[in-house]
Amino acid sequence: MPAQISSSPKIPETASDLELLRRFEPVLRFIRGEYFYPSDIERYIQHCSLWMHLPDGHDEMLIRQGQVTLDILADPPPVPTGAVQFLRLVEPLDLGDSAKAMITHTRKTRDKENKFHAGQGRLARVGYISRLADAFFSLTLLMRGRVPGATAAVAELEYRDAQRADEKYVYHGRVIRHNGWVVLQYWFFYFYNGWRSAYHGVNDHEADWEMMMLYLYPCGDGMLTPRWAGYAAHDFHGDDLRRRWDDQDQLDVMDGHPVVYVGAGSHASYFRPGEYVTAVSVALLAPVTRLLDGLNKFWMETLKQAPIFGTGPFVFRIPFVDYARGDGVNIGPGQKYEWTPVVINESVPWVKNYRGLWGLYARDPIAGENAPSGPMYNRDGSVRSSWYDTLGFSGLDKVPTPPAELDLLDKRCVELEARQVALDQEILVKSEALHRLGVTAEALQDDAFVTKQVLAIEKNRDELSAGVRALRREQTENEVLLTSLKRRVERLRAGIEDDPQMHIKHLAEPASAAQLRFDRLAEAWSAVSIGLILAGIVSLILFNPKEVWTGLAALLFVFVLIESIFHGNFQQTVAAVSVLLAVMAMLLVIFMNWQLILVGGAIALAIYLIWQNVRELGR
Amino acid sequence: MKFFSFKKKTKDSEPHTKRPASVTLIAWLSLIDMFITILIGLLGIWIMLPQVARLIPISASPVLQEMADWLEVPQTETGTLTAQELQPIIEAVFDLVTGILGLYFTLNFLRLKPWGWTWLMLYNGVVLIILFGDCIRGEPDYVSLFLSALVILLMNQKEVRIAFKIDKKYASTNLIISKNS
Repeated sequence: MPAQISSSPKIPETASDLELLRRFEPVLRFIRGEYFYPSDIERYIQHCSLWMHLPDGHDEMLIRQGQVTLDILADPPPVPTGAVQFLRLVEPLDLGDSAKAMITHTRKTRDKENKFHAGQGRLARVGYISRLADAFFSLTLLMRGRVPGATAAVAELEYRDAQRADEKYVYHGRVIRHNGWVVLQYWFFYFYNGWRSAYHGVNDHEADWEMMMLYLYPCGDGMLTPRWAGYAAHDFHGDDLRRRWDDQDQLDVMDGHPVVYVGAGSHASYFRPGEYVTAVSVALLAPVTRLLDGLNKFWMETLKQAPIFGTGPFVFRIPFVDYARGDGVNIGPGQKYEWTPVVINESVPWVKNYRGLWGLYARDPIAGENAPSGPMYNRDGSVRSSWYDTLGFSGLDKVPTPPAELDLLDKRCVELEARQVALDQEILVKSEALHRLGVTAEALQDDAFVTKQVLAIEKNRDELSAGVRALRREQTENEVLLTSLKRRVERLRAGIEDDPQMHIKHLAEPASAAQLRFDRLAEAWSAVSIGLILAGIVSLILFNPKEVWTGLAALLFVFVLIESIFHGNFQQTVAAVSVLLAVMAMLLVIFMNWQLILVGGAIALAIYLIWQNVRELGR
Repeated sequence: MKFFSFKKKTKDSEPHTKRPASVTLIAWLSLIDMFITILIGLLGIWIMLPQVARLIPISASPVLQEMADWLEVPQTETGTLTAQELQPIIEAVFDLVTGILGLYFTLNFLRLKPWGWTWLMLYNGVVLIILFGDCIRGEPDYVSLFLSALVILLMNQKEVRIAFKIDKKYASTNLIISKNS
């Protein structure tokens, strides 16, 4: 049932950028145990040195720690082609420094009130193959570049020092006016992304830029009112990134301020509180994943079979949990901590001129551990789409503002009505011409001396007939379209809105209570299951080597079934495993008996042909 | 009076679900399979009766004695059997038990019970593993392999799964597919 328009907060169109930003600034809800909160960049760069990574592989310091200023970022030193410029928050640490930093960090962060509890381990939520893929992912971290171990601890200590000296919570806001929309873009800068080191997530990197947007439109009385909120999530694109302002199921609004639930360490933005399972592809396993996805598609679409692994992601993706519980510190209007806003745009020199990374360049080829660039740029120096295409970013480039939509619909209806009148006239004229050709062709049918003429008339007649048919089709289609457009105009005039989630194709939802109903037994099982399987395999080899393959298959079958009971998908798992076995059995039968199958097929074909011929004789 | 009712029992409030033809086909294939398995089990036990009789103290119970007389089982002393003698008995009992279980699952499958679908699927999966084991031992039974695989694939068809409401619970997934962030 479509939602009704609700009363929305308003602000005069004449308000300054800062007033607009302040009126709708968000409330950020962090998880208990979060170490880093949105900060200004001045304090950050005071702790940084400026470096460049040269194509020959070595790093060179350009400016020492304590000497980097916004003026320097506004006019950064030139770097040769192929070099990467980056800030560095934490200087290289030797073993002693690392140990000291870790101990100090542990001592200073011993805060029981603000302590993170992971709850259910992520590996208890997924199957064996994902656990093996996870182990593989951990191994790749040893081979790829990564942020050193103690960096998170040092970064946190530096952030604490900065907060102790001058506690503030900062967003960098920008106002853009596109296609009738007024877009409020809020950027949040963090000293560090500690998702991997602190919350078993995908990556760690120095510096983190996150963003959300609000889309306002002029409602006709000289006021602006919000219509959409778009949160930049790592895993979604376009329409899936935005929620309508009146969508109470999906967007929390507190006194006219949207609420953002921030992921632990990742600082990703979520509309709803909870724990989000994110499946990440391992780049090195991408070809295998693609192959399996292709097979899955063939299985479902060509063979019309039910999916073996459900409709979700395939097996070689590693699960990570993004904890966005919102049970920790709140920042925003009316909260314990309030915002300090900083307005930015293209004319701010550091925004425009500094294209380097905002933290350590870890030389990670898949970029997960490299620091991000600023709000305006990607890591490769190109301009971010979220900067130059704020509407397209959330899929709003095709959506007019509500008042403009009504005008456009009216115009389209008028155009179509005019076209229908023109079509009526055209069809009438052409139908008459068609009749004339028809009767002429009929009249000449019996005259053998005008065959060529008849053929030419028939050709014209057929062409005209096709033309009239196309016009009638267009007219009918227009009629249907016109009816739909008019119905929509009526609905909008009556103030009846569409379903607020109609545009969403993939809805990010936190794990449900059912999915989280794992008890300690499940956790223990997930911890020991791989070990038990290995012990079982060894036992088979030692005590029953003749039956090792059968025993292994049976062992895996039993373990997978036990696991599925914990996950509440016993039925699905039984089906998946049985179907896999059935496919293997069929392939084996075909492979071992192909000659028999060919002979059998030939005999069946021969019998069929004989039967057909005999039936024909009998008629 | 009907001993079994193969029509799905529905509550008054529930609309009657029509059984798809493929369900009937699968059920018939399974029924034939189960009856054959039960028959093989019974025959196996019948053939091995003298050995079986050595495992049971027949003379201790008049009922057992009467049964043994009726079955014309030769009177033997109770004792132990060698592994070679025991194996065919175990296999026959296994066939009989699994056949009866399979029959029970099939009948409930025929009555469109979702758990009947699940357990029949599981049953065929286990059968396939056993048959794979036979292949590895060099005693392949391709006909049984083919039939069990066929039954599973037929059961996995969308219309069958819909009839058993198998995918209803798993219609939505909240896993997010992402690129490496």
